[in-house]
Amino acid sequence: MTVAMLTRSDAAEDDLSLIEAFKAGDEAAFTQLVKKYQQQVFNLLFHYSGRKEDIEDLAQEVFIKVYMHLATFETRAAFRTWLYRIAINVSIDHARKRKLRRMLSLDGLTEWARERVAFKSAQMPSPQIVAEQSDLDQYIQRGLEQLPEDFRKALVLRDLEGLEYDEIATITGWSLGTVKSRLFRGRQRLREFLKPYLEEAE
Amino acid sequence: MNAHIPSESLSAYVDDALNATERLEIERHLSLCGQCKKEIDQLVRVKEWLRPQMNYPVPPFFASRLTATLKAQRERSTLTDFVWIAKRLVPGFAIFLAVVWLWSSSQTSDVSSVAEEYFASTDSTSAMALLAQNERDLTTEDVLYVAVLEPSDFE
Repeated sequence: MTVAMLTRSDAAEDDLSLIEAFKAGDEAAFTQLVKKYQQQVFNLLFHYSGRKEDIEDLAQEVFIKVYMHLATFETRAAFRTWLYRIAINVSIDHARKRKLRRMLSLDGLTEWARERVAFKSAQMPSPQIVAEQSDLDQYIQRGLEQLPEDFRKALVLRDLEGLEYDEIATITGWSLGTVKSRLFRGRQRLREFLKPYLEEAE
Repeated sequence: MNAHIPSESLSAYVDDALNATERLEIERHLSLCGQCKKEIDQLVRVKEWLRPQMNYPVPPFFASRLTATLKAQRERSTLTDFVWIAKRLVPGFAIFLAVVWLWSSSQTSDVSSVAEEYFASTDSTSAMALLAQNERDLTTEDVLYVAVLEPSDFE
């Protein structure tokens, strides 16, 4: 058994006792769970959506959903993967609502059009544009945002959150083969996007 | 030299998601193939770049604010439950009252209509016949009630 597996099972056991305590009426156990996972949830929400504006509202929504459904949570499943699935769904729902709101408002349409132009120029970056963007992290975030949702999901969960293939499969409901192939295709796309940086780094 | 390693396997290699045999095979190939070596170097670099340098800062007192929001939601939901129940009970109760009222008034009108016929008849025999013909299930009290009423009671 690897160290990573040991850590995972220890953490899961710890979660289990907190969940049992919450089910028995101990509200403080829920607060402990929040404190334990809040950092991971904020990281995931930020990496997945790339937005800072309403991130606290999103994190609150995630934990409220957890609170509402924790009593029926099946302890056979790992809490962390369940929590991540909720966070990703909240993030996706929010993005859809935001997109719809923008499409329905005139200001939003203008903003949307502006973003599309920015997106198109980002798709074919010239070294000048790359130089202007100077901040590699921001550029990587833009690269992630232009990926199809499933590729982004795979990459965020694996490379930014450090989850194992089987955890990603549980969260997303994909097979292990699909996880592997979406990671590969996501990386290929991102590699293309980051080409100017990669060539410069060689 | 063997054919190039499929890119999907290279991606799994950087994740350390291959078994020992597969890993060895790739490493052997990489020592001989510059093209695959270049590809894997780029994949490793992308993976490193993706690795977050720092955590997103959790706003101070987030857990406390969340607890307060949950408490407010619980209180609101108790009030909402009460309103929900009240909204469903009030019309039901009103319907029940209306049914009771209609039933009681129909009972009175039964007796009243029989009484009207009774007083409209010329003699007690035909009145009794009327009562007997009446299919309604009149009790002795109803008949007595009819008997003590005066025509003026129906004006």
